[in-house]
Amino acid sequence: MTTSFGGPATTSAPLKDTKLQIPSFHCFSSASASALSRNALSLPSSTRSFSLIRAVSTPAQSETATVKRSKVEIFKEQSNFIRYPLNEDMLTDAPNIGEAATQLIKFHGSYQQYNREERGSRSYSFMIRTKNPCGKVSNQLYLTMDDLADQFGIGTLRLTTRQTFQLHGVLKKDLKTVMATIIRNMGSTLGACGDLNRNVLAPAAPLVRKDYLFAQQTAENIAALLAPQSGFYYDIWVDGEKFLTSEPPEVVQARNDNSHGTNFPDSPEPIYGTQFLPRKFKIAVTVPTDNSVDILTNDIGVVVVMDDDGEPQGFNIYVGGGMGRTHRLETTFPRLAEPLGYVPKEDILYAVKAIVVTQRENGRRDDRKYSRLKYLISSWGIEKFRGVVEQYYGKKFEPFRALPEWEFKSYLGWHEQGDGKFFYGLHVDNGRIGGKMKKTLREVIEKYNLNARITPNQNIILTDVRAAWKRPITTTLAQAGLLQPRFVDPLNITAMACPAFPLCPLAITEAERGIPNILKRIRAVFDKVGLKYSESVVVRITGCPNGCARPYMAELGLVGDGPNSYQIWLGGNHKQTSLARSFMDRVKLLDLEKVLEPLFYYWKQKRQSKESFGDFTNRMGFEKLKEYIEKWEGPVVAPSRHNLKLFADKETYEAMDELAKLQNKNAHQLAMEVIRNYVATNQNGKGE
Amino acid sequence: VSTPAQSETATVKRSKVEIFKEQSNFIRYPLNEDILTDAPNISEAATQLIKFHGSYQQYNREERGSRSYSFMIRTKNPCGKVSNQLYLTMDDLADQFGIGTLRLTTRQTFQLHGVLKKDLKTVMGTIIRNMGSTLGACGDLNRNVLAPAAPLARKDYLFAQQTAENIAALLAPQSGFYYDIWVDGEKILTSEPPEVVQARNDNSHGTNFPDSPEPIYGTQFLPRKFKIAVTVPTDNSVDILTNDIGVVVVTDDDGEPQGFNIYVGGGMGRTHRLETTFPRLAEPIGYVPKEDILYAVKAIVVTQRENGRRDDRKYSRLKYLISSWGIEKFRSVVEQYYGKKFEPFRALPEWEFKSYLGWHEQGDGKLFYGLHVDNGRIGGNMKKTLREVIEKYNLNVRITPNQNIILTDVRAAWKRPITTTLAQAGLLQPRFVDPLNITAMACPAFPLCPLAITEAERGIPNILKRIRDVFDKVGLKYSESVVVRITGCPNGCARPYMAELGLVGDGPNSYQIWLGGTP
Repeated sequence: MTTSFGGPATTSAPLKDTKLQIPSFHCFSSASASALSRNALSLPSSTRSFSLIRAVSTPAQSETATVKRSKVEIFKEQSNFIRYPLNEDMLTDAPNIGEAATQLIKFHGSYQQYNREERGSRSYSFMIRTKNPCGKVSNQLYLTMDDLADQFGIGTLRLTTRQTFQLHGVLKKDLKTVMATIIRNMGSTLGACGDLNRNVLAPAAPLVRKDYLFAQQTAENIAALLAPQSGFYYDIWVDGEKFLTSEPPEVVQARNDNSHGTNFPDSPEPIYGTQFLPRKFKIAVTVPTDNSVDILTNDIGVVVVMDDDGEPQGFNIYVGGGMGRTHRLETTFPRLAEPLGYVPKEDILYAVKAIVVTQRENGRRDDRKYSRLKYLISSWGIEKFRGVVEQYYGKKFEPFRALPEWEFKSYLGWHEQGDGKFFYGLHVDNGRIGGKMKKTLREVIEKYNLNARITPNQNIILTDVRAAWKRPITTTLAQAGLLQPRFVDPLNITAMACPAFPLCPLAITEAERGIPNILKRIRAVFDKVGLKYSESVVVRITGCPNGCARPYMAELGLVGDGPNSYQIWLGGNHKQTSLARSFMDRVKLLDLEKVLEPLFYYWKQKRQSKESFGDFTNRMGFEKLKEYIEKWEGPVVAPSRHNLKLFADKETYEAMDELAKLQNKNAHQLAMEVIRNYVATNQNGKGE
Repeated sequence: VSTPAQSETATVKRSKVEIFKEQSNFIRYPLNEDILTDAPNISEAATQLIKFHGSYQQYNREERGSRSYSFMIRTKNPCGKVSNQLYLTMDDLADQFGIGTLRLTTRQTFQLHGVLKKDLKTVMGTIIRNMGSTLGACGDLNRNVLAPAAPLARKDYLFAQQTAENIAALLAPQSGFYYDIWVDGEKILTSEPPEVVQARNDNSHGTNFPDSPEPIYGTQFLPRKFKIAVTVPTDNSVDILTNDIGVVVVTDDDGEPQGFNIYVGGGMGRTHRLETTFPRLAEPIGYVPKEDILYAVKAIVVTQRENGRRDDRKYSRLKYLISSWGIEKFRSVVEQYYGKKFEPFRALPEWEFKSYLGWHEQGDGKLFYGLHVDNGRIGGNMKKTLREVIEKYNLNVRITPNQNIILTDVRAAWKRPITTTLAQAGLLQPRFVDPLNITAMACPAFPLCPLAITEAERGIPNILKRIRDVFDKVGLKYSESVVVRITGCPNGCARPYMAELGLVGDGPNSYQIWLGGTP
């Protein structure tokens, strides 16, 4: 019996236990404050404007000539709004672009990469990432991406955890063709990477329900609100041609509003200015219970709140989630978002803008490793952060509304949309669409003229399917390996991996290419320790600590920390509401079973009823688990029973039964005793 | 009864192959010598002899310049039975010595393509030592005996399968040439049931060559290939009427086997633009009690041995003899060798096609799983995964007459992981396969088959897709289907002449269309 140690191991990233403080009063009623703020006139001025009537004070902007800034800040400042020198580097015959341009092209939705497995001169290519709020992909765009992958890419498409496509392997000489083709086919890559708002997530399910439709519309509005305005994207890729759809008037109004000193007046980029944001910025919108978007891992999480009739009333807002970190730098850490407050539905765009501006003005720009919003909030605390945001928002946040428990929803398989049509969620391992599966998927989307949605779990949903098409679509896709969820190993359903080798410059070891074998090994360990096939854990693997496949929310996260070596993180859960913690460093891939076998065996033996692996590891504490692993000698072999298959005729059986009764036994027991005696007396060939 | 008079004249015409057989010292020479040379191929005479050993010499007809020779090897698996050990062996051999794929054939056997001459002995020896055989898979003798592949624990099915195995044993060559060449004379036979030995040795009615190493086949063997299928009433998964001999178990009201109905004279091969060659359905010859089945089969084989044409191989099949003589004369000659009169044919219920795809109960507490394999071609990820499952769960398998595979003796607890693992490799439950594909078949054709005129296996996926598009266009529902079979030549290996829609290659990218088969 092991001695238990008091309390769980301390976490490497302690979280402040901040309680939400309810303001004692409001200076203005919400209606009058809103009307007053919204309608205030802006005086013409060559400097930042102030309204004559101030609802709240604007934070003072200190500006000193000696402030330290990272190199990227210089690139942005000198780029004429994300143009130069990218526009010139694009015109040269060189296969690559300069360092400054590699930073700028990110804002356009592309990364320069090279195949790190090739020796000799680098073969450069570009990865292109699309922007698809809610993961929405029109039929036209899907077919276009499919073609582009074959003509200019590596023949595959990848679905990402941010509900976007990634296209790998595009050469510089083809970049303009590819970008323009995407733009002209209802697509965009603007802001898919870079220091600005990234793709806005929302549940991908095309459910005809007020809450889902409202969440998705809100996601699209937020994406439009925070889209760059200075036109650099269209200047470079389609020679200035404008391809924007009309925006809802409330988006235009919210963007232009400068009642509380949020905007750079008269700037081509009223929200971003010349410097844009300090770092990437991620927003997700969802409805209560549906945590398919991993809400707590975003800089801003927005949750629709409805009244008893199912009418949307407003939103709860979380802030400060983020997954990226750097190995062996304990001051970097993954963080869960925490509640900021509630806003009425008509104020959501203003609230989001205020949060973004707070980060724009106060996020660190000297060291990019600490530039994310989560570090600002950790540094200030949520109260100070809320106070500053409210100055830009022009109101107080209301108290956070109570929410039901979060659930993970995969949306795989066939479902009713609610309008008489169906949608079909397809599991795509690691989101990689290629080969026969790609060809067949394209055939189906084209033949039935379907739209598609990308899910935050790297899967795809076919939408607006008529009932009569269900069977041929199911069959055709099944033959290409796109199976109903019942035919996918449960481990694969929830597993995710980032692309890693050979193209990602951050990768330390394998993720996407390694995960099939790792899952198979995990399944083999499950079998060995007696876990049923229907059981599963959330496994996520990344080749580096940057966290793109969200390993820090996994029940079992593997984070590359050396060649064929991973940190093991434990403690996330299936609902995506618990942060994992680092359990072991530098575990070699070939030693994986030495850690997993005792852990899974322990879980099987000691778990409480229906307790998940992640919850189990949290409850037991890491010190106890490590001790168990060190002492592991293999599973206890239960004594096995063997069947001699003894059959007797009726007379013999009845005679045995009679004799057994004399000894107060049943016939079987007596027969076994006779056999045991026979074996004992004849052992080693010694007959009596 | 009197033995038919044997007329022997010095001027009888015989085909070249008859000369090769006669001079071969029972299917040995010159194959045994050609195998030892460094040449990548073997001589014409040896190419005929190696067929009896279960192999064809082939070359890739799409390559220009010198021919790159290889050998196709075909196994013998009565009822399509494949032990776990043999399956794993074939999987390995395909990777080590073949083209990396296995093919399941309409005769319930494996085909292994691409084996080089220098590796032939290794491959053959390995198959023999792992519970397998290729003896008689090709050549002028009894081929693989078919029976329903379903491992149902039912008296009629078990009896049909046992009978198929007994017939296969009865008609297996006896002179040992196979083991002499491939395992240096080592004998690796399982013991035979005594009734098989007795039936083979019986010479009461002049069937046997006394004191010959081949009492049934003699030096000349049969005039041509010979195909036998055994089944139970209603179950026509074996395509009973396309065989030289079709044997149907007849059971009494208690389900106890009593005897067999026998059909004769089926056969699919023909030659284009030669109207005197034709596919033919077998017709009833009569009923025999169960204890007489081996004697009846032997009598039919001997009748063909003695009377089948040996001058022109295009007309050597049993079907031409029966067409020429008529069933009455044929029956009476067979009865002379059988030593009895056939009883009247027993009434049978309607035939049905049974695919056995998907999960089914065996009847002994275990399950079997029928998997659709397009054209019987096992390769790539599917081959790798199938092997993993068969190895992990220690399963035996069966090959079906529709080029599919059945995993047998599966415990209930294994059902879901097996279903899932195989589905991910493209081996799907029948509900997820296009109904057109379920019943479609094609022969290997290009690039290795020397008879091929145009595409079959490689062309069929696109042809089926086009057929499905036409269905959609004319408004036929997805659940509707027709039996489509495609062969690259008229030889009929995928039985296109029984298809509702048969495409038979008759020129480059050109087919005869055959209609009117019933499923």
